[in-house]
Amino acid sequence: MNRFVLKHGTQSLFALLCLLVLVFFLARLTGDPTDLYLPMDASIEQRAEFAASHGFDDPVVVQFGRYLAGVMRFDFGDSLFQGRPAIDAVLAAFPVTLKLAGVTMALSLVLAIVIGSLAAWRPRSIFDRVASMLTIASASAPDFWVAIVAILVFAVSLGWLPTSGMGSPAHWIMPVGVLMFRPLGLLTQVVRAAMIGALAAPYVKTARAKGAGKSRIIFVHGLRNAMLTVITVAGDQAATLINGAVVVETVFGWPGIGNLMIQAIQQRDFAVLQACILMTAFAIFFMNVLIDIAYSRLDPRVRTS
Amino acid sequence: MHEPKPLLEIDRLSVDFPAPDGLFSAVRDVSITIAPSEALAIIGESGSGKSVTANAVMGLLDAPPARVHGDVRFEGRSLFSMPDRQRRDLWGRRIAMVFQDPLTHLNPVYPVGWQVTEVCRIHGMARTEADRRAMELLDRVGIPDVRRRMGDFPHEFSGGQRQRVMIAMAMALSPDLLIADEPTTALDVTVQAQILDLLRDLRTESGMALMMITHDLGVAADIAERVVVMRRGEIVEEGALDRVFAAPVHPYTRQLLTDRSEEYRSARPGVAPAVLELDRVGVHYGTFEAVRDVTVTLRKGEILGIVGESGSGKSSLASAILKLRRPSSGNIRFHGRDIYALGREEETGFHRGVQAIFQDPFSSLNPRMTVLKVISEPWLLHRDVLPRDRWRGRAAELLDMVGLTESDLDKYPAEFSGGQRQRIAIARALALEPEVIVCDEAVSALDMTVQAQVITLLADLRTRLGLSYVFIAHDLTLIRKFADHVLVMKAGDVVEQGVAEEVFSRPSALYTRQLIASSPVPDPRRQAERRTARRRTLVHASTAP
Repeated sequence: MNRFVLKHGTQSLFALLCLLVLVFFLARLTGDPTDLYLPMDASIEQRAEFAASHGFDDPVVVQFGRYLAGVMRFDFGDSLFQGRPAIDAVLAAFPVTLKLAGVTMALSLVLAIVIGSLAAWRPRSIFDRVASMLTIASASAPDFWVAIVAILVFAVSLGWLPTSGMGSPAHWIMPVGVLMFRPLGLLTQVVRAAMIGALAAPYVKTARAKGAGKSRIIFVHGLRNAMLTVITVAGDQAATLINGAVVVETVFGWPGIGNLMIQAIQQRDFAVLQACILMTAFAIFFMNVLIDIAYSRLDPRVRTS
Repeated sequence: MHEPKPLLEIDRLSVDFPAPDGLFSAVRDVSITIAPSEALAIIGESGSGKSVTANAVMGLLDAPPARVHGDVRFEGRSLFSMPDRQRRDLWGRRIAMVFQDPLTHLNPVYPVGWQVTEVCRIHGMARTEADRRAMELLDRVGIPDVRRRMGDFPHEFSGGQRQRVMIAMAMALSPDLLIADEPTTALDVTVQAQILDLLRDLRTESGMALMMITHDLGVAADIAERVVVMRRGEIVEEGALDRVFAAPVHPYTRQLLTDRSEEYRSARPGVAPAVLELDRVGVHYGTFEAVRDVTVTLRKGEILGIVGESGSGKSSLASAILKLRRPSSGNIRFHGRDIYALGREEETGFHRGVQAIFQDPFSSLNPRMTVLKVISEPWLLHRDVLPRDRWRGRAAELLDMVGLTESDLDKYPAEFSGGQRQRIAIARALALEPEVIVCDEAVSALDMTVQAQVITLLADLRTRLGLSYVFIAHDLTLIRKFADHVLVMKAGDVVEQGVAEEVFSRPSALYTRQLIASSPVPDPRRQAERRTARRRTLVHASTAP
C-alpha cells in the first residue's frame, strides 16, 4: 500500500513542479510588471529603481531561482495592495473556503449515498425516476443563476436569510445550499450507477444465498464496492470546490480563496495570485494523495498490486 | 421399499422471461424431487434451463422480469409463499449454494475469513464462535496455513482454493441441501477432481443432499446417484445414474453420450513434408519463464494437440507460433525459414499461411461488422488475393463450406449462436487459404453437441484442404479423439510428447497419468474405478490448490 501511495505521490509532486514553472512564466508573459504598477509618466530612473527593488532587472533564470527559493519557504513576496505578505492573505482566506467546501461535500456525499442507493435498489421505480430527474436538473443548473434566484427568493422576498457575509449559522445556508447543487446531483447519479452495478454483481447473489437481508446487501456488500467509483468522483468534485467556489463566494461575499483570487486578478496583484494558485494546487495535490490512500484502504486489490 | 419423504420438491416449475417477440420460456413444467442425503445431477447444455431452475429454487432470479410459476417445497413448506424472513432463515443454514465462478462470487473487498464467518453471523452465531468455526471449515476444505490466510482476500488465492472457500462457506452451518451450479467448470481437470472428491467426502460426513448442475457428463457420472437430463427448458429423461448412462431412452440423451465417444481421427501414417518446426523454443515474460525448450514438428495434414492446465504455457507457445510474442530462445521455422527472420515477401506468405481461431467467439468477432465484412477483411489487407467484385461470391462459398448459407452474409455476429460464430471465425481463417490453423481453445466455450459439430467440421476441412492444425485444449477427451500427435505441458515444460494413441494408452509421465485419471468419463462404472485409481495417484497432491 505504501508503495502505491508513494508512487502516486511522486507523480502528483512532479505535476506540482510543472505548475510552479507554468505559473511563473505565465505571469511574466502578461507583460512587464513595471508598466502595471507605475504611472504612465514615470521616468526611466523611477522604472529602473522599481525594477531593481523588485528584482525585475535580473536575468529570468535568476528571478526563477529566487521565486523557487521563496516558494520553498512559502514566501511569495508582498501583496502590493494589502501591504502584507501574500501568503498571509491567502492563509487567512483558505480555511474559510475549506470549511465551506468540507460542509458542502460532507452533506452532498451523505445525501447522495442515501438517495442513490435507494434509487438503485429498484431501478426504474417511481422513486428512481423522480430522483434521476431531479439530480440531472441539479447537476446541470448553472450556479450563478441558482445563487441569484436564491437571494431573490429567500433574502429579498421572504427576508428569511441574510444576503451575504459570514457569521451566524443562517449565513451558511444559502452558500452551502447553492454549492451542493452540482456535487449532489452528480454524486447521486454516480452512486446510483455504481450501486446498480454492484447489486447485479455475482457476489450479491452469494450474499442472498447466505440469507443476508436487504440492508446488509445494500450497505455491507453493495456500497463498499460502489464506493470505489464514488470516491474518485467525490475527490474530483472536492478539488473543484477547493479550487475556489469563485462564483458562489463572489455572489455571497464569502471571504474565501475564490473571492481573493478574483480581487487579485482585478488588481493585478501577482504575488497574491501566484500564492492563491499554488495554494489551491497544493490542496488539490494533497486531496489526491488522500483519495489514493482512501482507495487503497477500500480496495485490497490495489493494496497488494 | 417405501419412498422416503422428499427434502426438496420442485413442483411444475415454469420460468418465463420477456423477449422482443413475446415471452421466452426458459423452464417449462419441471418437477424434480430430492430425497434427504441424495445426490442428484441435472445435466444439460447452455440454454437447457438447468441453472435457471437452480436459481429459481434459491429465489435468485430477478422478478420481474422473470415470471415464475409452480411451486418449490422444502420439507413440505412452500418456499414461494413463505414470508421473506422465514425464507432467509433457510438460506445458508438449511440450503446452501455454490456457484460456477468463485472469483466473481466472492466479494473482492472482504477477507475470505470474514466471508465465511458472515454466514454464521447472519444466522446468529457469536463472533468468537463464528471465527473458530470458519477456521475449522477452511482447514477442513484444505486451505493450508489457515490462521494466517483468514485475513487474505479472494484475489490472493488460486481458482481451486477460491472454490474451496466457497464450499467452506456453504458448509458453514451443515446444510441439509447443497445446490452446486457448475462448481468445477472454471477449474482445471486435476483441480476439478480434487473438488469433486472434497464434495463427496463432505457428503459422506454430513449426510447432506446434493443438487449438482453440470454440462459435463463425466462430472455427473462421478458424483451423482440419480440424473435429470434437461433440454430447452424441459426434462427429457430422468432416472438412476447407471440406468440412464447404460440404457438412455431419449434420443437426446443418446446423442449427448455418443458425442463424447465418437472418433474423428483419420490417422494418416507416412511422412508428409514438415510445415512448421519448433526448435528448442522458450518464451519469457520478464524474468518469468512461460515456455521452456519445446521441440516439435508439424507435418502437412497433421493435427498437433497441445494439452495442459492453466499456466502450462500452451497459449504462450501459440503466441510465439503466430508471431505475437517473440521467443526468447530457439527458433520456429515455417517451410524451413525462421519466421522471425523473414524478408518482406516471405512475411506476407507466412501471414497467409498461418491463421488462428480463438476461444471466445463472442469477443473475437467485431460486433459492428457484417459477416461479409468479417470474412473479407483479410482480402482488404492482402489486396492481390482476390479482386473486390469476387469477394461476395467467395465469402458465400466459404460460408457454405462451414455449414452456413449465403443469406447469412449480411447479418451481424450478434444474430448467431456461439457455435455459428465459431463457424464464421473458421470461414475467416480459411479466407486466405492457409496451410496451418492455430486453434487456441477454439471449442472450449461451446456446448458438447456444438463442440462435436465444430470438431467434425475441422476434421472434414483437414481432409478436404490438407490443412494442419495446432490444436490447443485443456480437454483431454477432445485431444485424444482429434489429434495425431500430442504434447503434454506443465508449468512451461513439455512433460510428454508423441503419437496421441500411445501417449494416452501408455502414458509415461506421472503428470499425464494424473491428467488422464482426473478427467472424468461419462460412464459411472469406469468412473468409479478411475476415482479409486486417481485417489492413489493424487494422494500426495490433495493439499495442493
